[in-house]
Amino acid sequence: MSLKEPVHRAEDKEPSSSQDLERHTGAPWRSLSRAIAKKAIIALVFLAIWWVITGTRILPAFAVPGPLAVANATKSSLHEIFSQSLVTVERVVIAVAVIWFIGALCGILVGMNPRLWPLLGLGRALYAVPIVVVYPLLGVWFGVGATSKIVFGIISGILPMSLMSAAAVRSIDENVFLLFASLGVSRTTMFRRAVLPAALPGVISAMRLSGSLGLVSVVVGEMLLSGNGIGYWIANAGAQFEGPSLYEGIIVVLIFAVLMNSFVGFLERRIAVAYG
Amino acid sequence: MTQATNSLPTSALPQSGASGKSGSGLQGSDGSVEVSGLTVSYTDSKKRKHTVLEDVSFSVPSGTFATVIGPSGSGKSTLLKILGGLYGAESGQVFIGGRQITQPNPDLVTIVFQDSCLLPWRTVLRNVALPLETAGVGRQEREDRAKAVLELVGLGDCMSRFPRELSGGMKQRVAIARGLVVEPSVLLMDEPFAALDEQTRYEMGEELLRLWDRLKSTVIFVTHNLSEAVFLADKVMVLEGRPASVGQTVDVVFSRPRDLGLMVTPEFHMLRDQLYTSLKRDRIRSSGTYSWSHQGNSEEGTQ
Repeated sequence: MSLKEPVHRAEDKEPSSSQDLERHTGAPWRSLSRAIAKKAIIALVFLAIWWVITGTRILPAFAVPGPLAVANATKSSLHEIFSQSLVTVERVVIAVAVIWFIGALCGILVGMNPRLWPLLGLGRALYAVPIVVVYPLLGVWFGVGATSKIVFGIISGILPMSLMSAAAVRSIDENVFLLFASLGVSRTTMFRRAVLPAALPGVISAMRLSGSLGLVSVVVGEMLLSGNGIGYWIANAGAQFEGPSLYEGIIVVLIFAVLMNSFVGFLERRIAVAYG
Repeated sequence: MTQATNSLPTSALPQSGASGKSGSGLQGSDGSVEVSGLTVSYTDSKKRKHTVLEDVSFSVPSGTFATVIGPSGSGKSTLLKILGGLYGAESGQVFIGGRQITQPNPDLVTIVFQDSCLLPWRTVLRNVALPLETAGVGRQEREDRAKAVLELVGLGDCMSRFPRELSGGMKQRVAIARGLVVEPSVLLMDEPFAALDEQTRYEMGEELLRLWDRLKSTVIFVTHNLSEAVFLADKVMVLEGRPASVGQTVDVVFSRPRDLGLMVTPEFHMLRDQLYTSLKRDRIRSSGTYSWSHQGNSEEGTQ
């Protein structure tokens, strides 16, 4: 007897998964714009509070300049802060891309091979070391240019990325592997259909955390030893007590962080839809 | 050297499809299970060797519903995984439909796991279609076949839902549908209803019998619940001792179709108690076969 007998397929109106997918492909863009709107509201509230605090002159103007003062400073230095931001953006993008790709690759590889698990202990021990102490060394090795900042960013972010990705793979239910093994699939199929989708939520959180670590480290690198970039801008403004310029820099870094977070969130929804 | 190239496990699929074997649970010896002298042991982290199963032998004719009972840790699940080709045995052989089992044969034998083991990122439909997908069946065909089997288990209107939106019983139905979608000759079930409440458990059992009655594949059903084992089975095998081997084998001859009313008859209780006693005597290994011989009574009880 065949399984197909009892079905009346003609009036079956169940949407196929391909239709489902089509219906949802607009969703990530919509949710991205919604997320941006939400962030804009938060920014407005922040601005309002800032305005009130500085307007009442509770705090001295050189320590907390009003939004107007910062806006005026930005207007006159727009071109310069923009070019400094671009310098940093380039470094952050390279560092974070390496962290995400190489880190995820290493993490998943280690997670899938129990023989490599002892490496995780080593990784955790290394992660406990405050990496900023090796930064002067990187300056000696790579000079004051972009390379030392990028390498510093990668070193800070790649360990947590790998460790968390490995943990995501290791936490996959053993039964999922048994199920796929019972279907007699190859290792590649097992990887594509079981490991990747099951580990994805963990890998996304790893991207969030390691991405912001990479950003912080590049900026810190620029603050400590550099002649350009937004970190240098902030350090310089701070040293010269130029309140408005300092705030300009801080706001730019905040914007970087928000943008990166939005990008990861967008990726997360995009992938969720693809696997739904 | 002109030896055949090393083929992937999945390469068995198109071959059997070409020879017209798939979905032929009705044909004579296709779903017969022969196990002889199976011994299984594992080495723990301290390098000590533990023998789980020792010299397990039994045979289940094609189209039979067999249950395996035994206390927790008696190696029931291990036995099932070996039948499914997931683990290798230290010695002994397993033949299913005349084919020796040394690796998974997803077209011939499927496994329904204890926890439903559905993939949370896939809809019900795509979960059920998974074995067809890994076997290389085209999209339209696998969706049609998955829908057909979902209708069969009564989940025709849940196809686009996700596993998290289903109750425990519904999840297990999806898991059963996934086990049946390739129309296997042998369906292995590893305590599939253990996580369900008692009422749902027996209702699912009743429904499983209805499904099996239609498909007539061989079922080997592992459980530690005596009532369930007796209610479902043509043949109950008791795993006894440590390391375990097949102690009693009881043929259950209550007429079919069975309904839950069977479970309140005295005959049912006699058989259940008999098995219970045998499990209590776990350490005293009683080999040999005992046949339930109160055929007349049992027929009366179920009518």
